[in-house]
Amino acid sequence: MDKFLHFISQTGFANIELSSFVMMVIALFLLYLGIAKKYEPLLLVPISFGMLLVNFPLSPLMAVPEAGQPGGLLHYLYFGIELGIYPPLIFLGIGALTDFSPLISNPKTLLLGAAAQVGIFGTFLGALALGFSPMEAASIGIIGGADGPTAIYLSSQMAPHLLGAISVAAYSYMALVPMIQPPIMRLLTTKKERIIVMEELRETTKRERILFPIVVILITGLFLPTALPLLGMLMLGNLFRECGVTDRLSKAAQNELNNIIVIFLGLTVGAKCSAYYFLTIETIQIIVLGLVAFSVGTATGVIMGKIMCKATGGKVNPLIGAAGVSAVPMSARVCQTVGQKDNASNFLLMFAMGPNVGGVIGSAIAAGIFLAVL
Amino acid sequence: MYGIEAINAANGWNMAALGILVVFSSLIILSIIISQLHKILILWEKRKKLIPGGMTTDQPYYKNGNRESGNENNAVTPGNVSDECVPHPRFCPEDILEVAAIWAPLAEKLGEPFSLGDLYKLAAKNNFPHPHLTIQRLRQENILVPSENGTFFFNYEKEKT
Repeated sequence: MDKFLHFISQTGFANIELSSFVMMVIALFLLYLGIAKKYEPLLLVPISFGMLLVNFPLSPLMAVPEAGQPGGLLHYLYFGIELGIYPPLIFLGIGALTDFSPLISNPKTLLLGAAAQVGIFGTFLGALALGFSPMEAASIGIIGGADGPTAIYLSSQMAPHLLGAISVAAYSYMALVPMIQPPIMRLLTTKKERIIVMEELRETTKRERILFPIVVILITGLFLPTALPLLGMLMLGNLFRECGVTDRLSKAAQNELNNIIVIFLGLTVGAKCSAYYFLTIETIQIIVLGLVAFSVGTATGVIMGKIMCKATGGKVNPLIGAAGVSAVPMSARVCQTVGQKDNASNFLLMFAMGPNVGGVIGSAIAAGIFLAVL
Repeated sequence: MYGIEAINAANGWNMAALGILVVFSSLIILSIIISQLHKILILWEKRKKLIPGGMTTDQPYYKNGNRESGNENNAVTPGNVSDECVPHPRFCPEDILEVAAIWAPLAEKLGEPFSLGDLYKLAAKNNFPHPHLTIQRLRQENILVPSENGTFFFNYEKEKT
């Protein structure tokens, strides 16, 4: 009987707490969003499952090694985040997957990518005003870049205790791009602006595409060495893709490596979302500030688009400014959808890809600035 | 500490301003350099013409895209055409009917109706200059006529006029 009672005392039923139960419900809800609603499923499914696993009572997955016993699986996988390994490797995959041609043929769209980063610095001020430390405020502000790996990288370096809340907020907003951006885009533009058809992009040569990652890394590396872990990997991945002599490496970076890192990253980010860390006022503040950052980034991108529209005599459709927040390629797709609602024959996707990939570079630079200054 | 006081204490205004300034300036510099990249490459490709004793445009253009001497059988000139290569001039003529005459053999080779993707690939394979832009011009001039299922016909009548 004693053994039976001891067994009962070791089950989850006997040890469950309300906060863990709430976190498990949140995890199941996120899992539902990922599977049924297909909101960023490649990320949301491992994140929510990791969240579910660590919130079981007595879960050993994040256990630290003690008394000669090894730690939990996710404890060791988490070193990849803690040491800043996974986000740059994800950037390697993104670089190998991204075609930078729209940006190369229309480089002024980089300005839209820059404008959309204003939300990061605006939210940095907002977080400071709410009492967060400068390092915490920087990690929260970077959510406005809508770039999950960058947000994870910066918070792992500057505010690891906020990593769970920041990464869930960043990926949630990336998934909710189709709901958050369109009202802001419509509010800030007129129908006349939304129906603008842009001139076709010129074709880029192979040499240009090969030189692009080398030039970018030479300039940004000299300008801001702290951005090198992210931008360096992004450009290396793109060089693999474009140089034409490393097809095997490019495919490995795009598929096997990227998929493995996404699983590790997703699981371990989810594993950081235990009730103890997550169910706090700070988390609610972070989620609200993340939404502000993302909305301000979208708005400033569109406003810059309007400025460029005026400056070019109506040749730029301001909607593409919203794609300056990274969220590749979701926000570019949103520009296409919003543009086509007013002009069914308007194809903005390729034009929006320019600011979209410009935003990836911009948010990595913003992260580099915080790392250099703070 | 909260509010403006907290921002001031952390030097927040200066940091935000500096951050925005650095992001903008680095991306502006990048954008200027990228916008000049293709011009620099054109100059680089023309370097032999600019250097006395270099090659001239009269020399044939080779299938692999360079104008170095090599396998003479690879030359793509109207008088020297291999089985797989469609003859074409090095530069695209301005007159659209001349362009149509040059592109007609490609359409014949594909057989009608054909997709624009296939036409583009064949043109690129044969080193036709600016295939994307030329297809766009041919469409605008109704030389490439759309059929119902997204494929296209070549309007040979227009080419002859």
